[in-house]
Parts: sequence; structure tokens; C-alpha cells
Amino acid sequence: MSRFLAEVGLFVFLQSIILVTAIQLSAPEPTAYLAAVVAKEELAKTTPSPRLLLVGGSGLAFGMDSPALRESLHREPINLGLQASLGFGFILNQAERLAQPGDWIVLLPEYNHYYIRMDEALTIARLLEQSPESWRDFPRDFQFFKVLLDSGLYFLRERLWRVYLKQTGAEEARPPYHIDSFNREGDVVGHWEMIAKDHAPMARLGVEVDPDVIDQINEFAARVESRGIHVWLAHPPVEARTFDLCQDSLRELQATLDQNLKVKQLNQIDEMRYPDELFYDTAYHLTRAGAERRTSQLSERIQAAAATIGPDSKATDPQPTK
Amino acid sequence: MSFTSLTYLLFLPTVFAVYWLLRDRVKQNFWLAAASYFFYGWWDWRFCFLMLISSMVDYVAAIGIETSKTTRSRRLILLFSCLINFGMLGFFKYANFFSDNIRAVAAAAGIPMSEFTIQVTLPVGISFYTFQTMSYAFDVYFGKMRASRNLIDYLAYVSFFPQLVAGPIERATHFLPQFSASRSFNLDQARSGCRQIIWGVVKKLLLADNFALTVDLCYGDVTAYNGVQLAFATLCFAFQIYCDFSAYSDIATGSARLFGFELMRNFAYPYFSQDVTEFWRRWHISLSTWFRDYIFFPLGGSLVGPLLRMRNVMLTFVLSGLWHGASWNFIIWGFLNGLALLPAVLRGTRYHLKPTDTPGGEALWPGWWTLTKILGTFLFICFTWIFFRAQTLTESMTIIQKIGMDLTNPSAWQHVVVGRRLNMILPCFLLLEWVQRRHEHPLVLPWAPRWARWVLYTILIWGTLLFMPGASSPFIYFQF
Repeated sequence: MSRFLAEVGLFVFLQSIILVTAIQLSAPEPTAYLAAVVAKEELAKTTPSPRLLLVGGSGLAFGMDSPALRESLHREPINLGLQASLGFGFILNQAERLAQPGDWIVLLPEYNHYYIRMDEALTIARLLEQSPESWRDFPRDFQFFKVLLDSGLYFLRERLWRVYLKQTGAEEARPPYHIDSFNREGDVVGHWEMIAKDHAPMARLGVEVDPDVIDQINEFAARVESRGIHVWLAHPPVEARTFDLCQDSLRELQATLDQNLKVKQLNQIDEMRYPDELFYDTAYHLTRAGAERRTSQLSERIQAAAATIGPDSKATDPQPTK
Repeated sequence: MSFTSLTYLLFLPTVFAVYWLLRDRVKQNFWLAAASYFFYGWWDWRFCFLMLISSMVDYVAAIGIETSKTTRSRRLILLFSCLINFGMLGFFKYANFFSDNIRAVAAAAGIPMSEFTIQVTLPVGISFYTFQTMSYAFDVYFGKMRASRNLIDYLAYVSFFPQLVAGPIERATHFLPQFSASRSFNLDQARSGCRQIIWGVVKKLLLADNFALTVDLCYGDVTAYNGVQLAFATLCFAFQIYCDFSAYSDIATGSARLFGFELMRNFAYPYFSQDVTEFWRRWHISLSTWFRDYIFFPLGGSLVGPLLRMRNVMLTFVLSGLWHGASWNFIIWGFLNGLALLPAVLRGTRYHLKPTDTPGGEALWPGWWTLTKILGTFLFICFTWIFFRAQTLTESMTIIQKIGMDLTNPSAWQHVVVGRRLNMILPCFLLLEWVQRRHEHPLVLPWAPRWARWVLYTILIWGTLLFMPGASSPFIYFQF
């Protein structure tokens, strides 16, 4: 046994040398898509009131025209949308931490969030590379660590792949999943001049709505509203063919939300069936025309909702930004 | 818990360390059972109750069978065991299939029936461990072994984590005595285990998962690809399923060896078989022998007249197809394989092939006729894989039709894009397996010095990590 342990120990030690070397040679890429988290956090920390925080995943990042929101609502928009596979828990925790009294928050969860926990190890690891401080926003529960352990091998693969690409001089395709694709407000606009890509529709959302997600939203809203922050929820647009494949689930979801969600909904899911040509490369990511249409609709709904919440919360003239 | 995860990389050494620190056999078995339930519960803790129910039913049934005084009561107890086990399988796996088909037949007869579907998650490994516990009850019934009176030994035998979720389906006569005997650490066995684990991981992550990319793309939307592309995707699937499933068995066998256990061999280079009969003695051996011993032989096997022999073969293979999934596709897959075996069965050909026999003969060059037979058998098996992989019967027929039309169409060949990675990996893999086919797996290299073997293992490990796809594919047989 001791001989076996010595052999295994030596073999593992030799592999560890390779592992450490590979990690040293594969630094995080400052231009990666998820590097935008740093700029978004900075924007949220430095933007003065009145503000509008948009909270969601990549469907939000790829589907908003925040400058247009600024013009119509006279509030500073901050698009916190990045990637749904960071997990809904992270998305909410980050928003709660960055929100300030007087803010308006619009939650825009992707429909899958209501069905399954979307935390993905590779996305989480990539984000932590860029922003180790983001660790505090992850729900560090059993499920979170399970996801990291079960799929963490793929992050190691990614680090090796970066070393390989550097050594061979090859570059992976970048735009629009690149930090330069973001505008100042945090919207992804790098694809606005690009041709939409073929992609398969989503065939299903999940088996059944997870009631814990609705509770999570309600609890989040209760906590931030006690700090003088207004919260609304808006449903994202989804491409027509995905909507048609999932319509039963979506209708069931709407009914469940109507019954259990305590946060005001700015729209109904049925209204968010958008033509396929307004989508860029997934069932959620919008082209420029799609983002503009969605932004216009959202702006109207926010204005209508804001009119019902009292004089101190109306849209005001924007403050000079730093 | 997947074998190719960081979780398993932490789990296995932990279980290994505690296991060998506990020198007592009973404590070791208890630890193995506890670790195995933890392993299984990692997917979903509720699954553990099902496995416990299945285990306890057959534990009690076996004792009941052994202590019963009359044949009638023994038969009733065995029937009870089958009802519970098949009932569980039926509920989780086949309820919707039978409901849909009954509704279709009723509709054809003009009888309206409301739709009835059950939304249940198929517990991982249920097809494997229920067959394992049932074979134990059958073996006690047929007097092949005594019923175990040690619950811990028995629970450890059923739940043993290396082979729990995707086999090999171990026979109690072979495996249970290993739990009853004391184990001592064996250096050669442990080294062999580590080698086999490395080979399994390479096959799964580097080969199977890369083949899966092409297969999922083409089979995900068959209307978007021509027949040549679909033929190529089918070829990729043949290697995906072989590498995927045999990798699981390799990691299972390797892991078991670390604890001093020997599992039965499940794959013996099946794609080097010269006919379909030989293929089924080399592919998923634990399942094919299970069906042979508990379905084919009790029906009379080959010792009956030609018509009954045909019935026995076809029934065995159709049931084998149904075991894989609740779908007409699997039934037809089984049917086709049974059909291919009929000539040999009707001729009364006796096969004395053992999995340890070298496929294709001992020579490095097999000869043209042997090579032709190997290729012919492989192509037939690839044809049957179309039904195995396609989502529906209609899809299978569409694929076959497209392949038939486009194979002789020169313009269809222009659109086949063969990835550079697969171009390099597949021939190397086939060559390695061929040259090393007299060994259990290609990493058995007794002639190579240790430093050379370690360099090879290092290249394989880091090459796998570098060239494996960026996202995981679950082991195919987890769905069965």
C-alpha cells in the first residue's frame, strides 16, 4: 500500500507541476465578455440618482437601448444584464447590493430561470477570474458548490485552451461576446450592425415552475422596497418559434405568476412573442430593431407604473453624471 | 455523480483512504454501502429510497424462497419480487409508452380515451440495479446460490458505486462472494485499476464527447443534412456509443479494482467481430448474458424446434431493445439484431467464443476475408444504430431514405466536413485498439518501462483535457 501511495503521490505531484504552470500561463482575458462585470459595477457605484437598474441575463444585455430609456424616463439606466447562467441568485444578490434608495429596479428574468437553476460552473469561474469580489454575490449553498465540483473540469480545459491558443497564435472569434461590444450603459450593441445568425429554437423550458424562484423574487422585492426602492418585473421577448413550441408552459407560467407573484408585472408573457427576424443568435438576444422595439414598450410601461407610485418617485430631470 | 467530474476525483480517493484504513471486512462493506448511497444520492437523494426498496424486496424474497417448504410458495415469492421490480421499472420507464400506444390502438378502433401521462424523472441506473437484484432472486430460486443472511454485504453488493449506475450488471454468484470474503490490498490490481480509469476517462472525454458534437448536430435536425452527412453522423455515433459506454465500464472496473474487487468484463472489442453473433458476445456482455440466462435459456434456448428457437431469439432481442427505452425505435433495433442472429441459431452453430479470445485472429494483418467480415458486421451494426439514436421511427426512416438516395450522389459528398480533430483521433484510436486487442484495454503495456508509461499517461491526460469539448455530455447509458 505504501508503495502504491508513493507512486500515486509522485504521479500526482508531476501532474500538479503541469497544472500550476498551465494556470500561471493562462491569465484571465481582460477583453472577455464577462469582464464587463467590472464596468457595470463601477457604473452602478458611481452613477448618481435618479437611476433605473435593469436586472437580468444576456437577454437583457443583448436586448436593450438604455440611452433611449434615459431620454424617455429621465433616469440614468444601468444595464446589469450579463449571463443567465450566472444563476438567478447571483443576479438578484448583485442587484440588491448595488441598488440605492430612490432607485427603480426592473427585473427581467429569462423564462428558464423559473424552471431550473441555471448556475453553470464555467460561467461562474470565468466571472470570478475577472472579478473575484463577485464571490460575495453567489448563493454559496450546497447546490452552488455541487455545480462547481461537477463541472469544474471544463474550466481547467478552458485555461489549457488559452495557453494552447497563445502558443499557436490562433485567436478565437470574439465579437459580439467581447468587452468592446458594450456601450456605456452596459447594453451589448456590438452586434447591431451584424447579420443575425441561424440558431435552433428552444424546444422546452422545463418540467414545472419552481415556486422557490417566485418566493425569491417576492423576498427580494420586500427587502429592497423597505429601503425605498421600487421594483417591477417585466417579461423578456422570445422568438415566435420558441414561443410556439413552449406556449403551454408559458401560459402555465403566466397563471402561476399572476397567482403568486407580489411584484407588479409590467407586461404579460403573451405580448412578448416577437417575430423571429428580431433575434440575433439565440431565442432571447435581440437585434437592434428588436432592442429598440422592446425598449420603447418597456419605457411606456415603466412610465405608466411610475405614475401610480406617488410624486416622490416620478421621473425627474437627470442629474449631471460624474 | 459523474465519473468524469471533479466531484468523483475527490470522492474516490476519500472512499479509498477510509476503506483501507478500516481493516475489518464488515466495516469496509458498511463504508462502501454508505459511500455508494451518497454517490447515488448526489443525483437526487430521493433515488436512494427506490434502490433501498428494490434491494430489500429481493433480500427478503431470496430468504423467503430458500426457507419456503413448497414449490408453489417459492414461485409466489419470486413472482412477488418480479412484480415489484418490474412494477418500478414499468412506472418510471414504460408507463407513458404503454399509455400512448393503448390510446393509439383505442383511437384506431374508434374508442375515445383521455390522455394520461406521468411526469416523472427516470431514476438513474434503475434498469441496472433492478436487473441485478432480480438476478440474485432468480439464482437463489434456481438453487445456484444460497441466500445472503448478511444485510450489509448484500446492500454493498447491490449499491456498489462503480457499477451501480451503468453496469456491468453483476451476477450474485460472481460478485456477492467477493463481499463475503476478506480483501487485502494488491499492488498490481490497484495499478491496473488506475490504468483502466485513465483509459476510460480518455475514451469518454476525448473520443465520445467529440463524436457527440457531430452526432447531436446532425441528429438534432435531420432535415437540414443530406444523406452522406447523416451517414457520417451515424458512423460517429457508432464510435460515440462504444467509447462512451465502454469508458464507463473501464472506469467502473478500474475503480472496483482499487477496492480489491473484480467486475465482469463488459466489452471485448465488439467492432472487430466477424458476425453479429460474435458482436453480441463482445458488446454489453453483462446485459446480453443476463437476457440469455434469464429469458433465452428458460424459454428453451436453442434446444427446441426451429420455430420455437426463432421465437426465443426474437423475444429475447425485442425485450433487450425494450430494456433500453420505451420506444418503438428500440424495439425495432432489438428486432433487427435478433433477425441477424437467426441464421446462426437455425443452423445450430455452436459458439465457443470467450470475451478473452482475440478478435480477428492473432495475426497483426487479419486477411482480406476477415477484414471484409469485420467491415460488413460493423456496417450492419451502424445501420441498427440509426434506430437507436433517432428520436422517432419516422426520423429513422427519413435518415435511411436520405442515406440511400445520397450515397450515390457525388454532389452530396461535397458537403461532408470532417473535423481535423476527428480525422486524427479516430484512426489512431482504431489502430491502438487493433494492435492491443489481445489485452483488456490498450494501456496494458507490460513491455514498456515505467517512465515511458508515465509519459504516455501524462500526454493522454493533458491531451484529453485540452481537446475535449467545452461542455459535458452525460454518459449515454444514464438514460436507460
